[in-house]
Amino acid sequence: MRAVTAYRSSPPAHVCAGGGDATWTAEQIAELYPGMVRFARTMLPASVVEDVVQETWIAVLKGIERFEGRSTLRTWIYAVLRNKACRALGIETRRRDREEAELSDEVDPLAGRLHPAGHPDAGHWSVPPSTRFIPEERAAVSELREKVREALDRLPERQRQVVLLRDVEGFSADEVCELLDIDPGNQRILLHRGRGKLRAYLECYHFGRGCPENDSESWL
Amino acid sequence: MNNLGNDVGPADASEMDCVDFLRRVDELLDVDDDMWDTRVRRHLMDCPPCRVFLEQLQDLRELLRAASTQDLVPPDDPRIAAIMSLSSSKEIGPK
Repeated sequence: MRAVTAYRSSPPAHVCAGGGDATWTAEQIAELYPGMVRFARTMLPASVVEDVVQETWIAVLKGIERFEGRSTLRTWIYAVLRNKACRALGIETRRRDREEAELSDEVDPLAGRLHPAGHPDAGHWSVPPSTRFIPEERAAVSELREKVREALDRLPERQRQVVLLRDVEGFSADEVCELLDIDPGNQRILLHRGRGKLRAYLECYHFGRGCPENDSESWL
Repeated sequence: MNNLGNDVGPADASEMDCVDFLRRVDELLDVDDDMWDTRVRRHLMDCPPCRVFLEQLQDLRELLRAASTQDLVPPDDPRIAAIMSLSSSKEIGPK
């Protein structure tokens, strides 16, 4: 496969700070591309996602000398993508006030599942989870996988971004804080709530357990 | 000792209830189980529902991770070719 001479001669994961001569192969770009599309989808309308990812790559290949090595190269590329997406939307990257307001206005899917204070079994389950999602024989896994993907797309934006970056793309908590410009406490809350909703959604879908009281509602 | 709390011995470990466990469950997913402290281990041994809850979150994460293997883009995809082509042009390529 033809290689693009870009900046340093090592693979993307090992590109050093400060530029130089590098070669990016199509394989290396293709490896990062799908994750970037998934991340871009959390910020942008589907109609512009591919364009913004393409623009990001052009900017990355053009401006790799600006990579200072303070984060991993993948985190830096995702940060370029985030900035491109924000610019495409014409929004500011800092949205803490609005996010904090959103965080305080959430329904906990575990509400009512544990005995309340004052109960003889306070602090323990009243409606415990029944069994794990992935059965030994793993027959229903592909259906569950599809359900999880759909559910992820329906989470509130910031929860979706944190769960995507942590659990799908494998970024560390610190990297997610840097990419989304959030503090560690917010990252923990967003991850906890996002995972919690997805778990509750799957539990309701798969076992009919722990569903919202109103049939027309969903945990997402 | 680890970042999940003091590794207390069996004699002085205070009991953890399900509410405490659920507050810490995301941290537990981030580290290998040999990093979990004694209180966590003991609670999981004594509380099958919390064990199931943890397993459900582990399953959820496995299902989510599978998403990253489903959207593979081959190196000869036209979108990759477009980037390769643009980036090797004089305006965009390295100086």
